[in-house]
Amino acid sequence: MDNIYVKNAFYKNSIANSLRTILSSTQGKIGFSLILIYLVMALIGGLAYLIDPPGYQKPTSWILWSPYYLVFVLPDYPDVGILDPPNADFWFGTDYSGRDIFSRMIFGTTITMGIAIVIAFIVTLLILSLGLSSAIYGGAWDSFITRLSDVLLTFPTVVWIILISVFSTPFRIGIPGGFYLAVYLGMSLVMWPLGARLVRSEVLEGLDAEYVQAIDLAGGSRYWIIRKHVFPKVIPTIFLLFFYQLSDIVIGISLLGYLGFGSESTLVWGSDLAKSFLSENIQDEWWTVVFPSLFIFGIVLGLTLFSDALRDSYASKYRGGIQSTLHSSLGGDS
Amino acid sequence: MNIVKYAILRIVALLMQIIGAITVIIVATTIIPLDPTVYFTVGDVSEQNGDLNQSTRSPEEIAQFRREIGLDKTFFQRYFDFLRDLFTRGDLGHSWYDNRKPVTELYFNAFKTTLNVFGLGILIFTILAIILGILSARRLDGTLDRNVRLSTSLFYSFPPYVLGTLLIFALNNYFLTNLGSSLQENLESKFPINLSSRPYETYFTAFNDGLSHAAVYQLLPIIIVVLIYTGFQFRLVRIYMANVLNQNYIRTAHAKGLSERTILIKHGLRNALPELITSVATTFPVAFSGVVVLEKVFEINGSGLLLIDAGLHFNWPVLIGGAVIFTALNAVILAVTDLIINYVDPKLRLS
Repeated sequence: MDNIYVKNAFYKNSIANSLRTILSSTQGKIGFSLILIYLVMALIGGLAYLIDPPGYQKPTSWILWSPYYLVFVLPDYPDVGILDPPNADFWFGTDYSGRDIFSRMIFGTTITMGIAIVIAFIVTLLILSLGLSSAIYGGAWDSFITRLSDVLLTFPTVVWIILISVFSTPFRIGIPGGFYLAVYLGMSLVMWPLGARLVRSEVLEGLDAEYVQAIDLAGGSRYWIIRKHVFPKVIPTIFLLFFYQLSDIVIGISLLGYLGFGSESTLVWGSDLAKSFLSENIQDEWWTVVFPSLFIFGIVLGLTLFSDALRDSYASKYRGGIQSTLHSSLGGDS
Repeated sequence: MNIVKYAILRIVALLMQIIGAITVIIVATTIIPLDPTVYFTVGDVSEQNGDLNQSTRSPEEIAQFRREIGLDKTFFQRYFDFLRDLFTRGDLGHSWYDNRKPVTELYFNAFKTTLNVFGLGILIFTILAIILGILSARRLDGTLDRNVRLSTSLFYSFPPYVLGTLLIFALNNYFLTNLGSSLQENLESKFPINLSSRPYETYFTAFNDGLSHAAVYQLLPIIIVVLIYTGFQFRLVRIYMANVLNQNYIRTAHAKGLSERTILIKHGLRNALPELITSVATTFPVAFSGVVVLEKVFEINGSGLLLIDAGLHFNWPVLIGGAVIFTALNAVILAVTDLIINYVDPKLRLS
């Protein structure tokens, strides 16, 4: 009983501590609040979707009132014009087919954040299972995983993205929802090797430590060693990888939309940006370019600042190699 | 370990990586549940979500097309033919469209364009990032360090395509409103294009009609590449250099009374050299990825646009060839870096 209490207190304390360290820096504050704003927007978009899935051709206010309209009846709105500049009814203006850009951006937030978080969880699971198992079992399995990650890491990121988008085309056209499945599979396949390699090397390092050998001599079981003395050291890396990869994934899926591979209703941010970029007299339609750009920029900035602050908080906690290792391995996305 | 032995091992590993990558791509193009001739039979499918069976070609035409491009062969035949052609003749096959041009020729020309447009930018940001990184590492959290970190982390958060879109938009607006008319008349008098009809396309037409000597048009890609990737490499250089400057021997050098300059160049730089090389090698593929996307933004007929278009048209030889070239380039750079580091750093040779 005593033991459990102490353990819980320790874990709570450590999460609260690192959050406090993050929020003490300006970078961390900005990053954290940006992420919160995007999560709230994603939630609003999800609620609005329940009421009216294709509901873009309404004034901006409806999407903000969407929780209210879940209970009460949605009023009829008058028709809207094409390419209206920002005004009181349409805060971000309307696009080339008369849809409210603010509502589209909010739906885009829901879809992008949803896909990105699902992929980040899949990747974290893959990293944990493959990295831990290859470090612990070694032998043929280890060399297989290492060779596989070697081959996958050789591809430049953008080549992977193009390959994913090409190979997801039949699923997008043929099967409803198949596009998401293809993107999940493709992006997780791209993302795991870097983290798995990092986790593997950290576990090997942990197993090699002198106190671990001492526990081994004292008769501690292998399971006990890994659970109590190796795994806790990997947890910071896992958290960091999660946030760093989240921003890579957001950039990746918006890029899919930008390159013209997702349909208009799936990858909203990127495809809206590309569509408005192709317009003939774009000088007069600045709002169609600026707002999608700002939405992509905001979440990437938030995630970058937050994960940098998180890394710094860990680095100040675990003095030693962690900062340089994480820097060199998390800096690159190739 | 002997450096020759290390080199041989590294080259064998490199070849294995490239063959592995080729295998992954060719297997993927085989198991994909899609008829790759769909661009030939139906046309562009990237815009439509409709059905793929509305063929505009007769069955005989389609059968002949499939025979010409070798789709009637089995997977193993195609796989081993590809490997044999690649390693004996350096041949990556022929494009299915573009008059059946050889893939290697297509990419050779495209890479020349890419280097023309972005080469200078890549050079500038590499040098700039190394200089800024070393200077900020001297005093971590100093004025210079904080300012550079803040400004680079802003640009670092712009994905290349977003920053490219915004900058083209801003620059075009600026030129068309402020000095637009005079520049436009000047260009129109020299070249047979009508800029006013589609003003926003001036950028693209300028490049593709050979107007690239106009300094304005050359500058923008360079500016974007420098803005984004300076920050990326700066972070790596700064932390590597700071690690070296934290060592005890640097403190000893200070205690001995050596000048700041000697310490930085003779003791700091020399010890950080392997890691600086690594930082260049790490940034290169990332920057190259960005350049590929920027080519799509600027509609520059370089290697990236070739690859993306091959993807949109399911043009397997060009897609596979491009992926192989990019992957091999990446792998070769990593291998060469390993070799250089092994040569530069005597500590590694002992272990």
